[in-house]
Amino acid sequence: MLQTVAQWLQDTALAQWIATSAVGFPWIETFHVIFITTVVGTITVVDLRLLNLTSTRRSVSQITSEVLPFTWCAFALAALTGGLLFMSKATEYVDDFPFRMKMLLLACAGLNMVVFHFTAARGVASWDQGVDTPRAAKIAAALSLLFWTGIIVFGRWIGFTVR
Amino acid sequence: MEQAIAAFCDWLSATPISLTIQSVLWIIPVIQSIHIIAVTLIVGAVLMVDMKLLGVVGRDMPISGATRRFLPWVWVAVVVLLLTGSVLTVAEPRRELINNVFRLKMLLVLAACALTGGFQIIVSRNAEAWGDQPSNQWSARAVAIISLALWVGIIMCGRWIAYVEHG
Repeated sequence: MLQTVAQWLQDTALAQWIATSAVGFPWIETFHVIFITTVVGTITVVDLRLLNLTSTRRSVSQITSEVLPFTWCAFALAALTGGLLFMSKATEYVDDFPFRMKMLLLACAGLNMVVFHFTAARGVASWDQGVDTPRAAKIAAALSLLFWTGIIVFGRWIGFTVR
Repeated sequence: MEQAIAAFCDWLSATPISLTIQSVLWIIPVIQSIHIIAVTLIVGAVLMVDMKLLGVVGRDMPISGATRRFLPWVWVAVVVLLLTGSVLTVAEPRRELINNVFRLKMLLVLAACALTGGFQIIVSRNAEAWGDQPSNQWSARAVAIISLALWVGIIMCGRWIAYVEHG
């Protein structure tokens, strides 16, 4: 099933162009790196604030409202460029261990964010500024840093297993 | 000059440390991963400072506040990048040192560090002039745009080192 979809994607004209053109894959990958470093760099700013380590004089909600729009834009573009890269060698990526780990960690990062959003983040008004952040927020931030670090490591690793 | 660099590369790649890095499979992927994580710190910090300079974020905060808060991270990351980059260069000297994209990347790194360091010093010496509503708003915007262009260029070169022919 997964292989059938992958094969179909890989046979599209767009995927064929990316796979065979001399510049398609490298340029898309270059932009993928720019967007993913933006995602992780901006998320780190938020996570370090949630850990109560940096920017403690500014409120959590101020930081999230300033930083997260950049994160979401960059994430959408990273997903788009990542999707294009995936298409070009879809049948190899679906069976690739580091690729699967990267997707798993991406799902973990998403789930972590949703859980945080519906639990600790609801009471943000009571710990927005001037007090230590609650333990639940710190755990969510630490997990986020861990998952995104893993996403980078496995993402880089894919380059050594799928050529 | 090119010949001397080539001779140096061949000497370096035959040293025990280079041979070790080349033969232990996990070293290069791990070092590259640390390199990219350090790049994310720079992107996050630089983006926040430059967006402040462009007036997009932190309107209630002085520019000197943003530079004090974020620019130290850039320097920590730059040190990590130089160290991890050196390991990668020792492992495969010709891939880096006889490569025009790598040379361009190093020029851009020098320019970005000079701009960031220079700007940091100028702001810290006269924090009041770089308050919420700086009188030199247009120079602040120019610094932001040049800085973003330099760092994006550095990332682009970094990825393309792997794709161009080297000596």
